[in-house]
Amino acid sequence: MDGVPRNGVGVAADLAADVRARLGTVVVVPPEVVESILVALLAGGHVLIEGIPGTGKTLLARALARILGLSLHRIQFTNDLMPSDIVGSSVWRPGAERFDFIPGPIFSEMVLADEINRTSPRTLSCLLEAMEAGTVSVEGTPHRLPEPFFVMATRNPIEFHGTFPVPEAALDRFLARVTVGYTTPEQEIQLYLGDDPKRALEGLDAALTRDALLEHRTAAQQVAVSTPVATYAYQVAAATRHDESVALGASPRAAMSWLRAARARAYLHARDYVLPDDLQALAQPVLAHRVFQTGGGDASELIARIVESTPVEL
Amino acid sequence: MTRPLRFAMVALVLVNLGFVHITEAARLLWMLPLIGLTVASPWLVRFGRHLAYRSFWNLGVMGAFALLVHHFTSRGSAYLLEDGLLLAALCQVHLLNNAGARQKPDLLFFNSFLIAVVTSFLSLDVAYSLMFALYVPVLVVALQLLALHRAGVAAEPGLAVRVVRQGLLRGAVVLGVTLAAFALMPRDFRRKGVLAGSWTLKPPGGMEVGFNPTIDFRRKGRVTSSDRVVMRIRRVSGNPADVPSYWRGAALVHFDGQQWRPGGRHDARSSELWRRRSRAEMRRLAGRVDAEVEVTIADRRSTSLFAPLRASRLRAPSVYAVRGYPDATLRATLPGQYKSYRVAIANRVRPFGRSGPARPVGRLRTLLDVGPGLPRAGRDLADRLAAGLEPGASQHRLVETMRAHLFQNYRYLPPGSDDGAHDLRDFFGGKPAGHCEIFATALTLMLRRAGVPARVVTGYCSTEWDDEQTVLTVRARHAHAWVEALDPKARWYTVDATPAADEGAMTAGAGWIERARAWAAGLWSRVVGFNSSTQAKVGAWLGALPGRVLRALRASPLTTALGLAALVALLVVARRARRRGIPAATRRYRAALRRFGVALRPGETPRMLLARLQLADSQRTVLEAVTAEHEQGRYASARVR
Amino acid sequence: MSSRIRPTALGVKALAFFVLLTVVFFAASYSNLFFLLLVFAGALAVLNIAWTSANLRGVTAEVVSLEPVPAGATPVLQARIDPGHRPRVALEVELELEGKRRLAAPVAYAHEPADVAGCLPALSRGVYRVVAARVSSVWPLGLLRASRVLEAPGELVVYPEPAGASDATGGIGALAGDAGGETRGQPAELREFRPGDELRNVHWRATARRGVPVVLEWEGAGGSGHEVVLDRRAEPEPFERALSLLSALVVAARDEKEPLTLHTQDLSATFGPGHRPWPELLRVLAAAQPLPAAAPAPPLTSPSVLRLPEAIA
Repeated sequence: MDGVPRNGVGVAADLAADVRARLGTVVVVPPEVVESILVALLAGGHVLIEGIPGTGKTLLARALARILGLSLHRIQFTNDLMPSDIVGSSVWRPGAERFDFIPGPIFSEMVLADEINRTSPRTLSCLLEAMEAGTVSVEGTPHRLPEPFFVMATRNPIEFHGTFPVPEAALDRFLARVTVGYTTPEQEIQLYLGDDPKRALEGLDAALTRDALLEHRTAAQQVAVSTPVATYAYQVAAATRHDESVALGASPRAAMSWLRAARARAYLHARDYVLPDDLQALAQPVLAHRVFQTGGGDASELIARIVESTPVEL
Repeated sequence: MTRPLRFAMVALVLVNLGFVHITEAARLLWMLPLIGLTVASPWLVRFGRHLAYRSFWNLGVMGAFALLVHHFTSRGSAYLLEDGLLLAALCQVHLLNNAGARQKPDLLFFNSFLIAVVTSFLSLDVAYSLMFALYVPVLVVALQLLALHRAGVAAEPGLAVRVVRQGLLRGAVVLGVTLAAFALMPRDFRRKGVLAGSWTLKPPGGMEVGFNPTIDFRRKGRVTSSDRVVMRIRRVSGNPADVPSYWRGAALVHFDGQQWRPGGRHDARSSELWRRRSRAEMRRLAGRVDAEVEVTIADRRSTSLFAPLRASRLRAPSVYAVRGYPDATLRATLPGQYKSYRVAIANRVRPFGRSGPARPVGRLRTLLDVGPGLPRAGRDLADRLAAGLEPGASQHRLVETMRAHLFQNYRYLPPGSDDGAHDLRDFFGGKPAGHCEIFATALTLMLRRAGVPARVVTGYCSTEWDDEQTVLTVRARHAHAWVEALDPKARWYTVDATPAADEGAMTAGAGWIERARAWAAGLWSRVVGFNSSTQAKVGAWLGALPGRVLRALRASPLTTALGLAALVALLVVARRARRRGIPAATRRYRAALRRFGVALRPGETPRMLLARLQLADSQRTVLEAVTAEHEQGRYASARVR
Repeated sequence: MSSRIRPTALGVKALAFFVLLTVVFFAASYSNLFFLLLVFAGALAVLNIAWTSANLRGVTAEVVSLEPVPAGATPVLQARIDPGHRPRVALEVELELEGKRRLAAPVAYAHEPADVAGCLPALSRGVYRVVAARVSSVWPLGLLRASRVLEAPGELVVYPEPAGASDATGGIGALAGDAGGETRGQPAELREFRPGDELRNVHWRATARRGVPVVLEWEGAGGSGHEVVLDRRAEPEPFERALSLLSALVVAARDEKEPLTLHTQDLSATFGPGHRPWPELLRVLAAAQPLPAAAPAPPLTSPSVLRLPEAIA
């Protein structure tokens, strides 16, 4: 019942299934999480993963990097991490009598930023700037980050000792926020019985190339958004602004990011037009971390309530 | 107070000021500060917490009240309504500028209605209809916003817009119901007020704009020309040509050199009108009536009623106590209420009474009395003109010669102009120009000098017919003075020596704006002069409407087909308007939902509905197909990318 | 359920004004324009009746709760309004309390079921009878109020203001200690830490052993609860202070889920979990009146039991 696939659209659907299948051999992650991550990747955004340790976030990132054929660097954020530890620094070469720039771990197609709430705001802002601009300035010299540049950041919402609050503006930089929790008992048991994840990881090979990924990215943004869909996006965004319990509703930028993500999702589902269903499926990952309630706390329930009550006009 | 409510109240007060303005109770110059204060009130009201600000307003209103009391004591009660209206308007502005926590806006609403009511006494102008049509929706919207305010809910912009839109719609409904009730509700159109008899206002003395029952050359000062409607004359039967332009208010006989006064009883026998007539004569006259008109007078201040020279019969509601005078003028004993009466005009009736030679000169002494008023130059001119005629020339020829001389050799200037003559000495001396009163006086005295009985008549001269020539509008600036001469057969006739006397009236009907205005005025005059016969006509027309439509439809196959086509077209247009912008696929999807008896819940998409429903396979296939079609039609056609 | 339409204060004024204008109309001779204006006012009135009742027709509402409040706090009315099949403007649920007090919960624009709340200026201690509960609307013109009776709680309980934290924390603590027991009872069981548990109750040794925070639960903490005697033979001023303290004690006991036994003239009962419900006790406090000195004494209890208002004298 999906629309007639345009060139490339159908390929993407197969690709998504392929990626999912390959990931499944290594790590057990709910399909909607995989989808959100793929959506963020295709929409040119970044993703924030929340969850308790030991649920395979790092493994997920590694597996994804292998499948997508991207280089991966992992940065463990600690409170003594300096900006130069991320972006790199210039080193004096006595022989050559000059400074050489040694790129930091951020110069990678995929960056796993672990526990970003453990670092100081200064270091964090350095990462955010890189995410926003796609370039890094060191001592006045801009250095382009590779294309694609995809950040998967994790945040541990349980521990608060020795953490810094992540500023609201920073959350806005992430296209999607997903929560990884425990899997079902069967899946977990299956995990125990399966191969050693490390070995399985070694056995993974790339499903596509970097160039193919970039092409998919471009194609995903060609997906059509009709007026009724844009109107629906506006209505939901406006409803978050008018809700009494909300201190700061979804901004126009949030709504636009939402539509961008919806395009990517439609592309993944082999459609060349966005449905309200795409928006609904992405409401939680894209909007929940951009809406702030007066008393603090998670806006997921609020978003769910608004999505449930906002009529989808035929 | 919420902003929308405040703006609605500003609009209400502006409409009120519009009401006041159309009565000409105050010059525009006086209204401008009130308008300014009204518009500035949303800004000014913040000072309401300062005692000085409130005191300023209270003192201002008290001062205005004192001025009005002074006006009342010095000028009499004739301007009472106008003055009251001004005070009410000032109070409106005061209330608006002090409306806050302590000052409830209730009074403002009632006062606004009062202003509308009082204005209805003072103005018959078509502008009233516009103000009323404006007032209704503004009042309804303002009441709605007040209700919201009272209910303690904040009208956020979106809600305010909705409220205003609803208010406008409701205003239209109220207006429609009002007009229907006005047209159809049975009532006594000639009802005499219980207290009407005891509520009399004296006409003011002194100078006034427009019609004067006397002429006094000692009066000096600026006279403004006003467009105020003083009278509407609606033709009930007869040709427009049979309705004269000259409407007489007072006939003046005695002139003492400065002032004209009405005649006494002694010229009673010279009158043709308002005399007791025998039944036989009445019957004879009834057959000769050329036209019948209904006159509605808005000029409250005058006790004079107006009728043309050839009026043959007057029908007035007895309540007005209209009296006919021997000089063929009418007086009401009750000013202060506009009057409505019918006049029959018989232009071709032979002079009433005995026909024959002119009466002995002695009997007409007053009408031939030149008195000290005509200066030497005038006497010489009259003698010279009379002598210039061949012997035995008719009286009409003499009259025409003198009229033509003045008409051609003297210039008309509006009253009060510095270049114009202020009395006859100037007129025949160095300033051969003046206004109508000068011309009328000069011609009357010259005619008398030549032995023709003559008198000065004041009243209105208007040719401002509407497009259908049904309603003749008479405005204050149409006030005029002219001459009546008595011919040898004891029949009075009208002579007007003033050049371009009806210049203003002739301009009517020029452009389409004027025509539209005249049309609206004609329509409005039907509302103002609504009476039992009009009501019967409206009722009969409405009653016959369905029958007429049916008859027209059945008249021929063509009309039947046309009617059906129009009906179908109407249905199609209504349907299309309802479905504008919705693709056919979506309509089919809706139809399928209706067929399956299911509905989308809020927040549910067609796909979620599919997942929710427990359907038979065949039904599911159908619904899946229409869902896919709907999605394709609705969402695949990109407007925004 | 039939709805009722009555003029508002503005409506009464408007009616008087209309009558006055009608009198003037008949006093003066007939005038078409005056008649037009009168018809306009009449049409407005008639249509207003239709519009106002239409705005309420199909609306359903219910009073969700009317919780007991302490004196000095604002009573809150919570209600739910369902506008039915089309949007409505300016609806409200109102409670009329005795003494002409109105408690209204308005909603400006309702297109779907809405939870509304309204509050009243703080009341003094007492039990206020609810004379009537209605859902009503003055929309659109504010001249008429259409209303329909709702089912509602019969009364609003305003219990004594609990003695404030600043002046009486120690006092309450001491009183509670007096009323309770001097020990924390017996250790009963170890269980996993739950949010809200006090840190001092964490059993560190067991925690270290098990690796997860473990809390030691005390059986009969606070003994068999608090016990208080309220002697109502008192002067009004100390009586109110006693009630205020008692109220604080009740609130504390309720929060700690401990029972409280109250002995006073003509009442001797235990409230709390497993006993009579707390709102009943709050109502007793709200309605309590001092007795003359000649009245009988409260029931006899052990001398260690807290006696009010003697204890604060």
